[in-house]
Order: sequence, then structure tokens, then C-alpha cells
Amino acid sequence: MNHLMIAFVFFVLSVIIHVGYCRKVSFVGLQAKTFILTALANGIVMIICFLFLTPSPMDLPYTAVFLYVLAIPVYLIFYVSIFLMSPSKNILRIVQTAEGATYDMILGTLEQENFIPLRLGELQDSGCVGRSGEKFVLTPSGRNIVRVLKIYQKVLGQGPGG
Amino acid sequence: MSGLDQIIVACGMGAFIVFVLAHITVLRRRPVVSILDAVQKTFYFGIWALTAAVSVLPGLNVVDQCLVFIFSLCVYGLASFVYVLCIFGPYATSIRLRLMSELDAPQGKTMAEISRTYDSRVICDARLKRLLASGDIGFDGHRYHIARTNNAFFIIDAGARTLHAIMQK
Repeated sequence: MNHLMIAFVFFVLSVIIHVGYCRKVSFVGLQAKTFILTALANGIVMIICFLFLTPSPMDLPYTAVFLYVLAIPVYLIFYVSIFLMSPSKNILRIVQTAEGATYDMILGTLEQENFIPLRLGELQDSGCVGRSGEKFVLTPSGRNIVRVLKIYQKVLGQGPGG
Repeated sequence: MSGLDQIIVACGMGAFIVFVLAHITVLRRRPVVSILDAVQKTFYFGIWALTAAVSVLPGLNVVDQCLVFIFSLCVYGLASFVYVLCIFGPYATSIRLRLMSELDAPQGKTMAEISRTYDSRVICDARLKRLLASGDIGFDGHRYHIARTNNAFFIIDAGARTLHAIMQK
């Protein structure tokens, strides 16, 4: 059980370090990589700490490591949600009013948000999409992602999402 | 390391594999209408598999069985949550991934060419369909209105807003 408590402490420590870092940095932007690196470093220290624990029949080191590793993306989901404006979230905000919203009102709001140019810009910034004159083209890393996506699509037997 | 530790991880990940297999099998038979619905039903398969595995494991007393069940459930729940929100969710709903699929042509595409198959109307229709199917919103023939305030979006949004408030100076 000590392993679980240590894993919890190290996870909370990773979150505190990340929150502190985000409060300190002057530039605005996603700091997901910082958290992953912090969690990785803390994870290594955590495993070293495990080696110094007195063995007991109730030791759960594998479970602790699994829960620690799985908790990292859970935190990132909440963290990334700060920056991400999703169309579904937008729709829910529009229809939340007492009188609701018509289809045209919803569509108008989504059009104002310019999701497609915005996301294309983000894809260009991340290096998945490039420009060739007027055309948007996939970069080699973008092609690799699409390849994996297509395999997953085939496994699920579904059409494209979005 | 105790034997229980290995059993917990094996049961948790075994249940997760059952969940993913059930999820794939169900989705291959019908299209995704509601993501929550597609996930919720298959999630129970994993819990059933986990319960069955824990109850037939030899050499465990009741306390050990409860311990294995609770921690395996934590491993299974977290693994499923991560799979749904980091793999299946983005595949089914991400605009970025859809745009990348659209751009999978030798010469690429212009904005006008993309708009022919994927635009705000497609984004709007797909989301309205999913939100209606999940029961998050309702439609009275003229207007859409909120039907459930405790939906996943609001829960994640509330968590994100709290985190944002903490992060702000």
C-alpha cells in the first residue's frame, strides 16, 4: 500500500510543479511537454524510492506504476481542455439559454469560430501540414499519422470521424 | 512484489482488453451515433469479465478478492478513460484528424476543395446528431435546448476551468 501512497504523492508533486511552472512562464501556450517531462523525471525518482522500501506481502509496486502512468494523460485531458474550444462545447453553451437555439443560430456561431482555418493553422504550427502554393499538403509526419488513423478506421469498420 | 500485485495488473489490463475487443466488435456492426452510448455498453463487458475473473481466482480469501477487484477496477477504469478520451474520442470527433484525412491526396487540397466535403455545416450536423443521440440536448421541432446539465463536456469543462483558475496569476 505504501507504493500507492508514494505514487499518489509523486503524481500530485508533478501537477504542483507543472501548475507552478505555468504560473511563472510569461508566454501563453500549451505546456504539455513540460508536464510529461516532469512526470517522467518524478516517475524515475518514484521507482528509485520503491527500491528502498522494506518488502511486505501487501506490496503493490506494479499497480502503483500503472496507476501513475495512467493518471498522466488524465491530467493532460483537463489541462488541454483549458486551451481547446470544441464545437460540441460551443453548441451546448448556445442551447443552454432558457429559450434554446435554432439550427441557424448554432451554425452561425460555429461559422464565426472559424474552426477549419484555425485547426489548419494549428496543424501547420505542429508540422503535420505544410503549404504548397494555395494548397495544403501533408508533411511526412502528417502522412504517418493518417496511415495509423486509416488502420484504426479499418479495424473499427467506420468512416472518417470529425 | 507480491502475487496480488501481478493479479491486479493482469485483471485490470485483461478487463481493458475485453472492453476494447467488445468495443471494436460492436462498432463494426453499427456506425457511431453516440460516443457515450458506444462506450458505456461495452464498458460493462469489462466489468463482467473482471468480476468473473476475480471470483474464480484460486487461493484468494474474501479480503484479497475485494482488494484485487477494487484496484483492478481502478486500473481498468483509468485505462478505458484514457483510451476513450485520447484515442477513440479524437478519432471520432477531432477536426484536426478529419482535416488530415481530407488532405490525404497526392497534390494536397486548397481551402475551397476542403470546403466541398468538410465545412461548418458538416461539423454542426455531426455534433447535433451525436448530442441528440446521447440525450445531452433535445429538439422540439424548431429549437434545440439543453436536456442534461451533468454531461461529460460540462464535467471536463468545470475541471478545466478550476485548473485554469489555479494556473492564472
